[in-house]
Amino acid sequence: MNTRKMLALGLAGVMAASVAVPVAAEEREKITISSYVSDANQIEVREKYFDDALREAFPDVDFEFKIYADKQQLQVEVAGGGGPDILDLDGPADAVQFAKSDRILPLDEYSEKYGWKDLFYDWAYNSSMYNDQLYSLPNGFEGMLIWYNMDVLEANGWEIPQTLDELNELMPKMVEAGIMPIAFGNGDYQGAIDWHYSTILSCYGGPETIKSIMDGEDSFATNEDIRNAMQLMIDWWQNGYITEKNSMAVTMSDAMTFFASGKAAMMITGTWTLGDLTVTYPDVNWKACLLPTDGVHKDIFPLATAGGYAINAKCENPDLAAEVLNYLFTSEERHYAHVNEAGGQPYPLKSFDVAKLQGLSESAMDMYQIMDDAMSENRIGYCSWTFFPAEMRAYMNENTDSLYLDALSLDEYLEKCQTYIDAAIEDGSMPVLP
Amino acid sequence: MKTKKRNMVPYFFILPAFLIHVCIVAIPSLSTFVMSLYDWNGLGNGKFIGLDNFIEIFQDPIVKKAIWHNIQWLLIFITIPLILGFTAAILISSLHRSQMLFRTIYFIPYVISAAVAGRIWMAYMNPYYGLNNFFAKIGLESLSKMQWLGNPKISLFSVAFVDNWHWWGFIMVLFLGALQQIDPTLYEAARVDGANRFQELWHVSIPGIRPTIAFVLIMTIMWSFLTFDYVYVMTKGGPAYSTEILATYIYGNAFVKYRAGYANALCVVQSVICIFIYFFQKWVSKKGGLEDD
Repeated sequence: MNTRKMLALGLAGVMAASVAVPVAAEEREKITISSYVSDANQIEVREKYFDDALREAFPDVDFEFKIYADKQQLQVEVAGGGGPDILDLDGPADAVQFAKSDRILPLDEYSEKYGWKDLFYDWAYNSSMYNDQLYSLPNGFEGMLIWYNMDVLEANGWEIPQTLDELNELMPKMVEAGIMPIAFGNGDYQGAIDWHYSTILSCYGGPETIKSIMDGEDSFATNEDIRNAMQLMIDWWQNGYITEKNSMAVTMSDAMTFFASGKAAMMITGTWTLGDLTVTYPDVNWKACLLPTDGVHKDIFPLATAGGYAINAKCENPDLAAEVLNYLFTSEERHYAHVNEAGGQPYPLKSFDVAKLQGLSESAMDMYQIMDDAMSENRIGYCSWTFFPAEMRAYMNENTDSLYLDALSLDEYLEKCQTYIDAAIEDGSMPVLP
Repeated sequence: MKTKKRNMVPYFFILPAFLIHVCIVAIPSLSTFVMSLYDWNGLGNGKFIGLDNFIEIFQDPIVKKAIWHNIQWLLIFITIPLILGFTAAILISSLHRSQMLFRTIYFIPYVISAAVAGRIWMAYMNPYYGLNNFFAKIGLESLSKMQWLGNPKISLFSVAFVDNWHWWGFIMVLFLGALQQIDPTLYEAARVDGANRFQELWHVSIPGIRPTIAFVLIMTIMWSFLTFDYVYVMTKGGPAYSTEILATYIYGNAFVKYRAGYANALCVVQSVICIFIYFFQKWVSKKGGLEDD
């Protein structure tokens, strides 16, 4: 081999090495996370409190937030063997379906490694279990409240009702005054009806009754408290107290407008409404309270987890995904900033301290205090999307409107619900109620 | 040998289309049928349950309701848009300068997506800020109190009205195109024979567009059983199942209730209904002279 050839070969070798080295250096790990946010405001919040924070905490990892129009899109992708590494699922009931099909990983090992059992409230942690294994981590802590437009109440000389009787007396007065008592709309999402039945069943049927039914010790079909609570809701709707019987023809954003504009005096909705009111209707003078007592059940706070993060079974680096999840739940400063500045929902963490919330309005602080007190005093009720069997909830979501319209008898409705409870107890898919 | 080669050529030409059809139509159709025999949540492996899904379908009161709504939908769409489209096509075909203007105006709703049009009409039908305000202003009190989408007695017709609004312009364009293909000398001959306008229509126009009428009929019938978009956007099958149709019920089972196996069985039933109707319509069309043997 002559010198020229040797030189050429050497040069080629150097060039190859110079190309190869940067390529190896550029090989970065990647984590994709599903996201449902769509409008510019939501994207801005996500970028500030999630994207940027994650990039700063994991400088060697590329993060991609994959936006899905709805959960069906994610379902199809995961069913096809793909999907992001971290799935943002609708809640425990959703996670059970993914877990049943081995589409998400059990997280018990990571839970032990990072001490997640001690991190979350027991009820939230347990609600994420299926077949005695942990499959998701609850990423929101929410509950149902009654919201009053204080300007409407004050202008009419009305007080916040302290008992169910007072509420029942107040609503006809509101109708007489031309004010819609309760604003609600499920024209665009029929399932929103679960906010109402979850609240009414918990507050007037009683959490202990629901628990005994879900434990198989009582019957949804025959329990008088359950029947009376459902009947109360039906009566409210049929008397025109709920969106003047127009709830099926309007959307929840319409209902929010009615409330904010003073056309309606009240709403029964979740703690997530704080974000909507803060961002869209910052001038509304509102107050959120627990539903007034019926004399038997007092100050019940129906609670739920908002959604849950799970790790895709096809994730190439589940250890890193778990580390990312652990960061999300342990980055306190980021967590509080999200709640304080963007009205985000807090995680159901034992360490969550209302005293650390800053810059919130008095009404918002009161709301968080209500949540905190109810938790610490164990005055909790059960929202269907976390604590009812999935099939029962689907049935109730589809059929409660039929009760309102007298297209279905309450007997038939309650009996059908009981069949789903029996089936869930039998196949072991009954959620764990605290 | 040469003849054999030549005979193979057409098959090579249709082979790509055939392969695509097998991959994206035949195999998925077959898998739909196979999965209809499984208890499957749409995510993992199913459990074989034989004909249980089909037995459940025949006992499911919502399926009966949904099929009845599809039939009502069919009856609406086989009459109103066809009559409207045909009448408008006849009238517009007699125009000269302004024909394109009217064709465009009536066709525009067809190019608006169902999601957009559905949302716009939802707003119009809102009891608080929609058309009801207008009716109240002009003194139509009973109409101003109507719950177009909230009253189960009329909600299906309200949604059908919107789909009709979007659909009839397309039918009109199809009829107009067909009418323009008719040889003008046939009309001249009819006039020479003393035919009036109605007789021209009956003896020249309608026979002249028979294949188009047959096509529109069969497509309307099929689409009536496959329709999904406007119902899904505007009511999602509610309230109280009053607008539930087969397609929305299939969607709900597959993606909301995680009952993909049952949804597949419903798809099979839907396909069987469509195939039956297709052949029945073909038979009726032949008997009625709309189609040639």
